Amino acid sequence: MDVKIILCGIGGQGVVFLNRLLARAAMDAGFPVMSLESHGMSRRGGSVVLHLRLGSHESPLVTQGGADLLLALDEQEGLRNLSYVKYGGTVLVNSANEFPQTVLIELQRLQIKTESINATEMARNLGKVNVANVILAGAVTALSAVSLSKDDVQNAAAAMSPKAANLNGRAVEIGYNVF
Amino acid sequence: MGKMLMLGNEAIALGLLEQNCRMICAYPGTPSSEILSSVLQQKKRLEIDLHAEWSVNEKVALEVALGGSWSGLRSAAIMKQVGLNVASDAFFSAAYQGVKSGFLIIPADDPGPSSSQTEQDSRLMALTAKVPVFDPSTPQEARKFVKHAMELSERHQVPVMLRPTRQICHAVQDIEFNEKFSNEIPQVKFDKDPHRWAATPRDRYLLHVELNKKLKLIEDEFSSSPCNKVESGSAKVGVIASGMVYNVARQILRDLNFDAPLLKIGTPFPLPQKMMSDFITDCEQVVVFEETDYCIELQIPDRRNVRGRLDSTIPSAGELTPDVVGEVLSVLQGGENKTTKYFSADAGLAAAIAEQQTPPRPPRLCPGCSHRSAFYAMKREFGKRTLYPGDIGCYTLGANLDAVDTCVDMGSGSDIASGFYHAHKIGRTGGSGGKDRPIIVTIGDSTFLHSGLQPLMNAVHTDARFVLLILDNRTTAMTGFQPTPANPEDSNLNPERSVSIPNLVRACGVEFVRELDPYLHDDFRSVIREAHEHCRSPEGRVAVVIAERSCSLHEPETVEKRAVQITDECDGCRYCLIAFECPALVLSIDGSRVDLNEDLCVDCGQCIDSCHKGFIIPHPEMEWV
Repeated sequence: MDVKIILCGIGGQGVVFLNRLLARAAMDAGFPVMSLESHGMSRRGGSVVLHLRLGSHESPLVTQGGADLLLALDEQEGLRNLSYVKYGGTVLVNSANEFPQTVLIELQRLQIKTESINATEMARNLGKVNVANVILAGAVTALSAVSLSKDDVQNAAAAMSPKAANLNGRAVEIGYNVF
Repeated sequence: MGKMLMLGNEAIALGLLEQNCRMICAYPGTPSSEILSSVLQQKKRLEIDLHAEWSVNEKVALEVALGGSWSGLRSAAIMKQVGLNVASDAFFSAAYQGVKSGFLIIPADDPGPSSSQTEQDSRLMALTAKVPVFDPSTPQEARKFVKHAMELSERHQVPVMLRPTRQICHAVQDIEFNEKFSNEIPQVKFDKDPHRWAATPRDRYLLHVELNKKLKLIEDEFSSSPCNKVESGSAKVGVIASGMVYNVARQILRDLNFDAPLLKIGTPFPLPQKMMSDFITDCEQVVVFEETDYCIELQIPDRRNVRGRLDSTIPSAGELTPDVVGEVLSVLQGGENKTTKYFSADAGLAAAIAEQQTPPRPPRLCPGCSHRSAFYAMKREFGKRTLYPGDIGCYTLGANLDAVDTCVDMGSGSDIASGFYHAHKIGRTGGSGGKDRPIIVTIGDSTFLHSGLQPLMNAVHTDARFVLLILDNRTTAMTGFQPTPANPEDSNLNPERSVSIPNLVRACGVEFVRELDPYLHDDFRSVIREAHEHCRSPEGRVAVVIAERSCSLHEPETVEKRAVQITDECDGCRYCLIAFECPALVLSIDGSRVDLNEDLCVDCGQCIDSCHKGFIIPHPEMEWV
């Protein structure tokens, strides 16, 4: 596996946790991982962009037009970072809406597979709005962009946060079943 | 043996513990903060006998750690790059005096910058001070370089710099380790040697000569160091790189099928000159990639065939992202008629995105933040004509509320205020006009203790007249809640040993000192007004108001539950959005009203004062505490 991922969202949404979850799952599956996180300045509410590379020893940094996968916890942040995605790549965004038509046309032209799921709503129904990130991680495993299984992610979530293993396990399941 | 995902900063902490470093002092600052946090966690978990402290500022951190090294313990001082400016007096002197046990200075640089006032390169500070530098390119390598640096420091009795950039500090990597740390504590003994440890100017000349000799030996060692290596290639263009940008360049060379020889430099100062000139001679031209500025490039004596920042091949500001490096390398590969193009944004897609005009989402003060309440009260009472010098911390974001007019460096607010006051006074008495404008300075508790005290003393004794508003949220919030001397929660000190900010202020000769909760909007406004009147009265002087309330993110339980409701009458005038700027207040999609984002709202009730029309009210169905 050599997958370049951009993760984005708003500070406070758990973008860093989502990053660690996928990185941990990949590490436990035997792949080297490297990522660049962003910390500092505002603790809540600012734009956050993270780079994650699974299965490579080289730089974690992804170029414009070079990402295999864009994971967005927020629709506007997703839109802002779409140009990272490469020809034929995948976009998974947490949103109640589709991207605007003019953008969708461009994405189709570039054969970028675009999926919007309302993970926030699903998380609210599960009783914990802040697991939208884990739902998104579950949904990733149902797409072909990353060779990680639902079990890989569930196990990683349980290892990282044993107290929330049950809740996170269900969140992964919900995400996985979207597709 | 285990494998763990680690931040670069955690890997550096691991390296320090593995190298039996027994004294580690730091002042928090992005991107360096997690190094000491991680040390403290491991110390507690594994009951390691070492001295680790959040020092009051970087100069103190460096000096305390130096005392540790001179006593015989391996020691380290950690800070962000601008923190090294604060510590530089000790840094320069320590280079001459040398060390006893291994001594590392770890300043974290911030290309970009993402969270700093400058993009300065700490390696250039080291070059000026004559301190050897290690420049790691991954978290794992940073951990390994701690060993090399400690050993070098001890072998040559010099302070050594380990310089990670943000791209190392905040990189995450899978790292193999076991927790076998040495439990051997060396003999602790300070050996008196006044010609070294208390050197006079005459001694200093000799120490300088000695330092130059050490550097020559170190340069020779670096020529055969495993930290520097050549990877051969068939192309006529060679690449020299160091730090994270080495990995970036290596990746791009591979992606472009560009078989250029690559020289990795892990020790940028003193530069292994023989190794460098051999590499450069074998190439038609070489390009140097390094961050944040030109440290390696500057030390190359013959730069005729060298491309880099000095000949503008590489931009002289900003991060060297793969986009920047890819552009440079594809041009060098293809020459003028380049056919290869590295990955880049698709123009059509980029245009469609730009058309959407997604509003930027800058960092903001958190919901429930007591700083916002203090700023809002200050602005309501004193308006736009007042001068608002600010300082460095979360509360620099008061700029979003037009409540911060200046920000220079840690502790500068009161000095700028003194300068403003004296200048405006001369302007008025000199007849050139200029109104007497109120001046209100804001500074946080940690920054005040870091370097805000001397400016206050100076203002009192030069009779500068302004209001100093100390925003005391009882922690160093921006960098992850490190304790200050006013609240040494994690250290072994008992509460009686806490520093009292009001007593410090009084001891500087300030007569007007008030402590108040900024959540009490009306009272807070009248106290700042009173403070201003005191400071401008004939017998008055600088007045200090301390806004006392815990950080709502650090101690959410201290926020009394006061849920609000925005009534149906809200007409979407946006006053609250602009003047109060809480992330939980959002404009509805059609722009007709303001809605409450209940996921973000912390029920502090502070926004009630931000609607003059009375459309934000206590929630009728929720009881207020």
